[in-house]
Amino acid sequence: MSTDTHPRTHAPPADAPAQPATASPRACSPWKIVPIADYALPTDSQPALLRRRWRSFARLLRGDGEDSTQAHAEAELRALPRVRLENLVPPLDWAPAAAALDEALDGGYDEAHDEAPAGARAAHGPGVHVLVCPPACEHASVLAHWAKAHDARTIDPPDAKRILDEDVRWLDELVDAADGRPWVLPRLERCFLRHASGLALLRGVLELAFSGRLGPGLIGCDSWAFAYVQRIWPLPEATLLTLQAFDGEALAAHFVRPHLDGAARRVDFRIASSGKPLLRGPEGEQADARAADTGDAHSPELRQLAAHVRGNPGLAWHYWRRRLRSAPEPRGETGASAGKDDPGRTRRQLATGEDVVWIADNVEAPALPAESGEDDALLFHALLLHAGLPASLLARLLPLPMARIRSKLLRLEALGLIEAAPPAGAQAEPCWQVAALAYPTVREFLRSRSYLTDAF
Amino acid sequence: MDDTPDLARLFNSLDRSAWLELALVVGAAFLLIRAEQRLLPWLANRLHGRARHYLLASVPLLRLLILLVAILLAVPIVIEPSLRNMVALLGAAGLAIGFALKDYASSLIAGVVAAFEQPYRPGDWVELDGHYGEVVHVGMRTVALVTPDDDYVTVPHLKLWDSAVRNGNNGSPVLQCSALFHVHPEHDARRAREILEDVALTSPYLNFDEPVVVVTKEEDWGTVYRIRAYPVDPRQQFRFVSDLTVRGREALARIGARPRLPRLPTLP
Repeated sequence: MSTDTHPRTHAPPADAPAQPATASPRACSPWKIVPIADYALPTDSQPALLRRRWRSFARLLRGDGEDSTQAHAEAELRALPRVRLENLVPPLDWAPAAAALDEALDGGYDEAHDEAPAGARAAHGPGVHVLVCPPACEHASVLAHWAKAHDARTIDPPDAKRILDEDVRWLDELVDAADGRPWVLPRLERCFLRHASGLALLRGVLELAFSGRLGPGLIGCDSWAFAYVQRIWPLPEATLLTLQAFDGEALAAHFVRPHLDGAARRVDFRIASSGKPLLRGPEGEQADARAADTGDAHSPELRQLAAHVRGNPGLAWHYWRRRLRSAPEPRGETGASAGKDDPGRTRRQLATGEDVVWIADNVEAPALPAESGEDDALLFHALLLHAGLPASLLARLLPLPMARIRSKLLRLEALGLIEAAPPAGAQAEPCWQVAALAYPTVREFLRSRSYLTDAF
Repeated sequence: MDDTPDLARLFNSLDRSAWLELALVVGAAFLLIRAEQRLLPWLANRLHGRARHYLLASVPLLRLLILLVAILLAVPIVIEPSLRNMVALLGAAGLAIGFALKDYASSLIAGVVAAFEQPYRPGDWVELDGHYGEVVHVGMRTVALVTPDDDYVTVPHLKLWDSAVRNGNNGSPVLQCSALFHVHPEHDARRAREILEDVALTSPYLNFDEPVVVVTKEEDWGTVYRIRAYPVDPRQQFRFVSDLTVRGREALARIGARPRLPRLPTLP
């Protein structure tokens, strides 16, 4: 298992920098929940891309480089120690996203929860909304925060056996358990299986929800499952919400600025290949520092990262952690005396208060082997549509023998393309899912082969 | 006996530079055709979906274009391209072809027609002269298919003139498949249709951009259900139909619909 697990939901550590979303006014927060029609993918602007390529080409021709004395070959740089990495890039806190969700809903649930006239409620529909998020953006965590804040009832999905047995008693239990409070179904992707007997409960719960029999509530759904559900039981578009994609500026606000503005220990993020600061102002290094503090700086690298991860903050979190490096220990500085309190910092850095973190240009994302074929595509697609599955269920859903599925899973795991989440709850076997760093590659693989893909 | 000198006057006197020019044109055309016939299918087979089909379909058209350009460049080198000369040359060629190489020439002409009308293109799944398979090569004279049994079948374009061509996907990457189910009449037909639709919707091979239809037909021995749906890639058609068949049978058994084989007509 990779040490980079999916971003978890918990309060940031006490010594961690304050998250910008909670520190700054809501309007400046990068977390925004928008109607699905307003979702916009971040792009790396074409002129900027061309300019950057031309500059690197010109530098190559000149044979020199600005700040080349400060630049470090990436091979010389070291990965950051775990503790330091945890301090610099703490697990994502989804509470601001829940707050943004609340704002998007505009308190409609509290009003609906009150004794609203039946006619008024009918005019606004059953008050059910669906939050759709791409993989690694934890919609279930967002809804868990929201449910806690609104004292909402959480609906647990049925287990696989109940789904395949088409056990409609689960639906009756939902109706019986309705107590007038708003409800939350955090993981719609766990309510169905792509099997001829695996859709009845999905249709049943959606019918209950959108007919208003459960009262007002919120449904969380993975974007791949959503693409599939739309073909099975199309959801009303007016009810669909999503987390707006993070652009380069939003990534900077989340990952970089908390370590600049008023941080106890300012961190100087620099590009490893050029030695330039990550956030750059219009002119000169002094201007860069000022612009970074005032929020006027821009970062082509972060914009590029945002475009690569399609604005997905969960994926960006994984990539960002992989890109951070520390400088190699200068000769003579190695030893127990250097960096006792922070193993990633050299003695010189400790003495001067200077804290430089280098950003590696590229992350070695897992690559698909050239011989990847139809079986791999079916496996990846099933894992993404269900947001992870155990091997035994894969064998029930795919027209592949169990032995081949197991061998493929182990091979893909060895390549870093999938990973096994430890068994949760009553589950007896690990749940396989596409690894976060492999997700862009796998998505492109499936898209190029015309499989149903998400829109995010 | 003036004919012989007149026919000889059709042709230009070919000096060394003319021969060289002719050789260059023919050689370049030959190399270009060989290159595009190898390179484009090689590239197409590394792609999927529409890109693969359009690239494969462009192979015969591009070859025809190269041939036309080569002929346009070569003819003025060999003969003086006046109307009188062209009529004389084409008349002589027509006589020779008409008597000796009728079928061969007919196939060549049908090949040109096939390149323009495109009743089949590389990547299409066609039934031609009783053979069903994927078109892998459209040559000047013949079209080559690879059947599901992995047989390589070559059919002359000549067949275009007098036999039907059944094309399953007609230049697009979508191909309809159908899975048949023969069911005993005593069952819940409404439930059977619903569950067969779900069988298609849950097949991992299904192309969601195309419709899924379940057709029912009542026979005197029972009921026939046919799922009409499209796989993600036409090359998956047999695996798709197998998947629908296996899971469809399971699903029908779950709702108590027993299979029933069609009754053969009784002999008088």
